Amino acid sequence: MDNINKPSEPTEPAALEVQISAQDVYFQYDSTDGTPPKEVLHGISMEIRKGEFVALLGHNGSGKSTMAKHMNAILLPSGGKVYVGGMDTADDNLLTEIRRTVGMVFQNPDNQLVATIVEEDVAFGPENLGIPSPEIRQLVDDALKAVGMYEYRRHAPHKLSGGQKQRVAIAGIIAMRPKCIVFDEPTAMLDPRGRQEVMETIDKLKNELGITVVLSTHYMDEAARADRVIVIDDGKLLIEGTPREVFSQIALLREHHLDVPQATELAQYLRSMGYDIPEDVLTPEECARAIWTAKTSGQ
Amino acid sequence: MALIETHDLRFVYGKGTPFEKVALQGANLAINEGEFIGVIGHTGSGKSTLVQLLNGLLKPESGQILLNGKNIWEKPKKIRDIRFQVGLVFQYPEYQLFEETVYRDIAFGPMNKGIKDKDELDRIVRTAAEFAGLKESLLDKSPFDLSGGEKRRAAIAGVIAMEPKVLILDEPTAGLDPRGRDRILNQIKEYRKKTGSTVLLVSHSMEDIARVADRVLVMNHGNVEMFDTTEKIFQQGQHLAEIGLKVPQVTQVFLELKKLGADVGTDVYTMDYAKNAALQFLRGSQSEGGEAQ
Repeated sequence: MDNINKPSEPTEPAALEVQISAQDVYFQYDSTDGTPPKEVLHGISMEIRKGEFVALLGHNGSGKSTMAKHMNAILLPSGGKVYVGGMDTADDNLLTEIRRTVGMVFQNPDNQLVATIVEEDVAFGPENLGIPSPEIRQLVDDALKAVGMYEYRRHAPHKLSGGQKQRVAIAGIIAMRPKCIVFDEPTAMLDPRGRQEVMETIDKLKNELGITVVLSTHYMDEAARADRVIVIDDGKLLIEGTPREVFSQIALLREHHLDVPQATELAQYLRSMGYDIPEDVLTPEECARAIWTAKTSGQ
Repeated sequence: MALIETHDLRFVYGKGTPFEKVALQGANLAINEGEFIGVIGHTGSGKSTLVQLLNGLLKPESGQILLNGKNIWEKPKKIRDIRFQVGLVFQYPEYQLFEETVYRDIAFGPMNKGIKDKDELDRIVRTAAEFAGLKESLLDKSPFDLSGGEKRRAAIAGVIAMEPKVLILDEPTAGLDPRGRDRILNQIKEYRKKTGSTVLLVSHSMEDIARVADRVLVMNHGNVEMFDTTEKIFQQGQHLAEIGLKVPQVTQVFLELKKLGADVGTDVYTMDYAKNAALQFLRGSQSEGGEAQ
């Protein structure tokens, strides 16, 4: 897989191998009513490295969901290339292997659960892959434990809460042992507790299982937990960097109809009023500490 | 007299089946005319059941709902009239658009209500579209050609067109980006200001609720857990966390500050309020024990 050679880009120290690479990707949706096709991605390039947690931000219609769907060959570029672990997503013969490498979790958990018992639902993916039964048992148990839903293995999925359903959907993906999971707005339909459960699960996937995570979201506090944030606007890459770097660009983000976490906004306001507050505050705890420090050291 | 009152309102799903579930176990509340009420509660807390009872979509197992002092189920055959007076916008309402044009979709409600005069209908449709922030040019389009945010506003316009006294919106901003969310919240605020209507907004976003609500109704396990001014509700950070809810992020900042030993109020729930309170704290003018008002 290491033969995607981009030798011309000696950017960062090659500490991490590339998991997904998008190179100058164009994409258009064909229209059904004779109007010209609509181009959604206009030559976007990005790299997701192994073990990274990357958040994709962008308003509705920015192309971020379209980009996410290119990461496991649900969509194929109309121009440019997407490589998953070195495999060209346009190569039909590699499709199964690509989908095994990158799993996808969507917004609505109800549309992703198929069986009447939790563990059967989780077993669905590995069964389709043709894995022998005894092995499936182990995969399913491990996956359910990883998302904290093992105790619910014999429950009916439709009776679970939104956050629990979404965790079962995640277990179904983990059971296929992917290297990377792409989440397309997985918390949009959940209540605060459900959101927290899903975010804690995502952190765990990354930290304990070493799974590469790509999270598309509208929630800035979720993006703040990522290693790197990529902002997409009008089908192009607008900015990328650590959450601290990206969210300190309040004006730019606002211009492109995006938000920053409230804690960041408050800190930057106080900074603009002349107080000694760092510009890269991300969480409520950091913001409180910064205000406290500014107050106590100023006296 | 309150505009809406409920007395010991109780509702059970699947009564008499093995799946019987009590969704509401005797709710009592009163809402005054013109109030903007935020409704919060975790999934399954009974908030959606409550709003469906309020507009007569569900019939109470026991207890009463009074609208202007009258029991809405007094004449069950007249329940349709209640649905015109209490308009309900469902979650993901854009999936319920069905007409050939946006105009006809918005006109559907008022026509059903019995409005036949074409000019009157036209006025109603255009006013509703404007309240929902839909451009005139979209009215002749097929609803299916609109963007997600536009579709949702078209669906909201369809309910506003019935000119309800009470407008209830169940998670109107779910799944929208920050711009779409701001537009819908601002349109709702504007609508309420201009018409003096009573509005109930159900949301999982504490930040949204903090921005618009006068009072917040907190549901938990089919009961009214709290019902108080927005300020007082968001002071109950601990209590909200215990029932699976949160306080807005700016409120968390002040809770943390207090933990660090700062003499600040924890009744801070909007960004503007937070900016003032933080400035006052930094300038040291909070010393009279006064919290930012």
